[in-house]
Amino acid sequence: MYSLLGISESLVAATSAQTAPLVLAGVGVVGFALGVLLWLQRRRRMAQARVMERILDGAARLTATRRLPEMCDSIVGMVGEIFGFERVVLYLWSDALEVFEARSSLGFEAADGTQVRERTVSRKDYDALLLAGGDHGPGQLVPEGVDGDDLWSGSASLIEELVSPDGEPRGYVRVAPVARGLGDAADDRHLLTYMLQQVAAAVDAAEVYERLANRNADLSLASEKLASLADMKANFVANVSHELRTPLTSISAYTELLQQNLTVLPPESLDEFLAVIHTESLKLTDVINDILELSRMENGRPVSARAETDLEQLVRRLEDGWKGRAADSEQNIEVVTPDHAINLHVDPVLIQQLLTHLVANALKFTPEGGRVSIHLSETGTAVRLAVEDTGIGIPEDELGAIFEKFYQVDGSATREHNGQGVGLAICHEIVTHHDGRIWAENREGGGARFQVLLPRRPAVVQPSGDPQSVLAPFEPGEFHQRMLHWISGSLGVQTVSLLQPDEHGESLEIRASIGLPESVAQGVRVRFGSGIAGRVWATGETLLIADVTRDRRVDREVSEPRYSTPSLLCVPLHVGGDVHGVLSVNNRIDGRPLDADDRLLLEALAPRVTELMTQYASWQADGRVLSELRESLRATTSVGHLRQESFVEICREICLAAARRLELSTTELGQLAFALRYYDVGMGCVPPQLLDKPEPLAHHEQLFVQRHVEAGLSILEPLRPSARARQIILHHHENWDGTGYPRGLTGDAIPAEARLLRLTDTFAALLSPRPWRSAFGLEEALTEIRQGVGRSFCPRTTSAFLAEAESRRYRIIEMQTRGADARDLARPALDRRGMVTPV
Amino acid sequence: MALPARILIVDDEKPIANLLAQTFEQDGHVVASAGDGIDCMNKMASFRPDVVVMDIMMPKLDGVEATKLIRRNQTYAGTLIIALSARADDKTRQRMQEAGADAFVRKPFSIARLVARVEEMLAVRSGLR
Repeated sequence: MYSLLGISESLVAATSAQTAPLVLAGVGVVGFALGVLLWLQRRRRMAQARVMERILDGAARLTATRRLPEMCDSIVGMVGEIFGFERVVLYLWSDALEVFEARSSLGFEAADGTQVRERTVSRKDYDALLLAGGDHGPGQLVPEGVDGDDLWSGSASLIEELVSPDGEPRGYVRVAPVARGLGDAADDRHLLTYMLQQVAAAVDAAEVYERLANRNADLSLASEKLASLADMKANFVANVSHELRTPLTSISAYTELLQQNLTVLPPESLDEFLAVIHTESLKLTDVINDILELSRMENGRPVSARAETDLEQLVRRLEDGWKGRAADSEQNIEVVTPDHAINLHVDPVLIQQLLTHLVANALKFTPEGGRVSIHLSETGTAVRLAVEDTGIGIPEDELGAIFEKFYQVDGSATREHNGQGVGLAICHEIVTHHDGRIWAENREGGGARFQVLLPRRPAVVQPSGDPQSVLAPFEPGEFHQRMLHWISGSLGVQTVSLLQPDEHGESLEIRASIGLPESVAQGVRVRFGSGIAGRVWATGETLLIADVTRDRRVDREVSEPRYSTPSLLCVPLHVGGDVHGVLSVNNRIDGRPLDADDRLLLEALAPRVTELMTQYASWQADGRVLSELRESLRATTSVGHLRQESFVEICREICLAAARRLELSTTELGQLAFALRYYDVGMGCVPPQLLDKPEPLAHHEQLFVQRHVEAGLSILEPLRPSARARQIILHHHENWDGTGYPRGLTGDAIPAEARLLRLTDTFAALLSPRPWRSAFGLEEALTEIRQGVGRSFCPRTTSAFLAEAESRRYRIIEMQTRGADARDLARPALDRRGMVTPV
Repeated sequence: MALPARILIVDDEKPIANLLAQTFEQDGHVVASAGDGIDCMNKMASFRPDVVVMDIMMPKLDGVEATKLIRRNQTYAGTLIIALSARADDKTRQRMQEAGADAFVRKPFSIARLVARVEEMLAVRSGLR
């Protein structure tokens, strides 16, 4: 428009400089030309006005749309239709993923068959695009080939920001090709700006609406939970009142009789009556103590009460008491322990309570002449405690629920003995407190077996001695403990040390460690550049050493006693460009050397560790954040630890190998390793009854199970996973044909890593038994996967995955035929908080 | 003393079962005991009670199911069933009523009042005969 005005001014200026006749003729010509130009201009203005009218119309129509996906499609459609761009993509900022997500597109599907939707652009890449443009008009002109994104090759493209009325950037529209005249382009750009201003409010509203709809779904889920909680509470009260009333019935009946017949009763009856009253009073006291204990456990107990405890000795000490009780009722007690100490870092008072409850429970269920046996043993990663009886066992369908605090055998009033409900709930709380697992099963020869696995977690040695504050919701000592256990659990290693520079910045000292003798942890000083940690500190590069006894970089005097396996992995903790610490791990629990997969995972964890450590101080002001962090560490530690020996381990290895075969970058591999480790933590939020349910799930139950994906992401949130890791986890249940959840993505729109994770998850699940089916054999499992290609699975990733699985055929078969250990660990967990069903 | 009757006490809590048995015997009734629902069904056939004092929460077969089984058998149509339970919520009471119990007594209870109630019901029933 400015250019047109410019032309008419110059015409006027030219007019005054000419002679009259010429002027007359000229005026005619010029007048005509001016007329044409004015006419053209008017036409263009009218055309622009019509466009603006269409934009306003469209924007008005948009406000009637509530659903964001539809709205995105309409906006993209409008841009394509009104401006005639061939390719249009609308990106919106996702708070959850912290990236711009492509929400709708035009002009791609037909061209190369791939879907653009769900492609993402990080904030960094977006900023780089804007810089590359260097154009300061409305919007940004992006020259061809700037970002290497195949979507935008072939021509320059234009980016126009979507800014909400309150000035918040919401996303952007990118269009191509931009090859027409500059003037047109400028006008288009003004109009495009205008249009996005018009629709911004509607997009804002739709986003709010979408958030509200999600919140609504959350709320109705929460209210469902509350309703079932209320049911459970009512049951609890009824159960507790039953537990209290039963001994009370005897007490009151016998005292009533005593009162009325005191003078006529013979002395032996008096004795008998008083004995009954006394016994029943003791029972009543027990019930009350149990209830109080349960409520105390629920309010939490400090980890500082833990100490190195010899469980073998503890069991032996309690043995006499049990034998005494058993002899009274003519039952037999048998205690089987290895003939050496079994040391574990636990709360001894709680573990004693656990043992007492389990044995009392077993004795209760065992008839006269029966036998109760207590077995204490060790596995590689845990201490196992089993209490078996020769009673009548537990109905199969109730095995999962007997640890529920409010549990009552549904509908039926059958029960075997008093005091069942509360004691087992306490056991469950105690085991959970130690991040372990408890479950019940029926023995083949009859009777029940209660099994407890307590993870073997060496004490964290903290030479510098963080000040312990009782008031802090998550005191620094516990923070370091949980963080180191998280790393040791995630990698399956026995030794972890966190080294940081001393106050002079001259040498590294151990800030916290597990698996090292205290003398070593106290004494270690590593100079800058020397030894392994010193080198990592100096170079900022990871070191993975296959054999410390042969590697000349290792200072043998210091290291020799520390390593029971020869490999060692040491990663730097970067803050900005500096290395502010070093994480060193070694001694894999399974005795295998640390490998490239471990390196990927530890390198993916290192930035998390750095961030947690730097943020911890600022989070101390906010107790809620800290307690979320604690739960997050607890949930992820449990998973990492207890899945160690199941098929999941080898499936993870297959997954990463397949990813390498598909030539994923190191960063991508790292994020995949992270996702592989924690993707299923959300399963802990799904009621175990649903997971173990043999019948097909009803629609609302399916939705409940599907929530585990988002629940998992929110559990992980305090650990600040990267956007990519979040995406992989978010989409690990998407199917190739679009029938998956949560977004129903199709084909390439699903991140490749998520497609691999989908395969891994399915494969591991097939190899493991379920309550309603036994485990698949290897061949059956492979066939099942092959048959899912094109429906659940992507052809390309599947062939890579299968190739890697085939090459590990014999290891898998060996694992399948091996003893009960792996089977036990593969059993679905019964705990709905910390533990998770292995896939 | 009321008419002597045959009374079956069904309760897995031995102290309370013993006490009830003694008390009813002292009142001149003939008493048998059963420790669970299955035992109860066996005693029904061999002992032929006039009254069953039935606990609800029991092993093997609970009081509700045992009551239903008794009511299904025409032979026991005249048998009085008095339910005893420490689970005194309305749901339990209702299920017991639907199963066919004639009375519901909440634990803990007064022995004298329970005995009186049983004898009163026996009297009413014999009056109707």
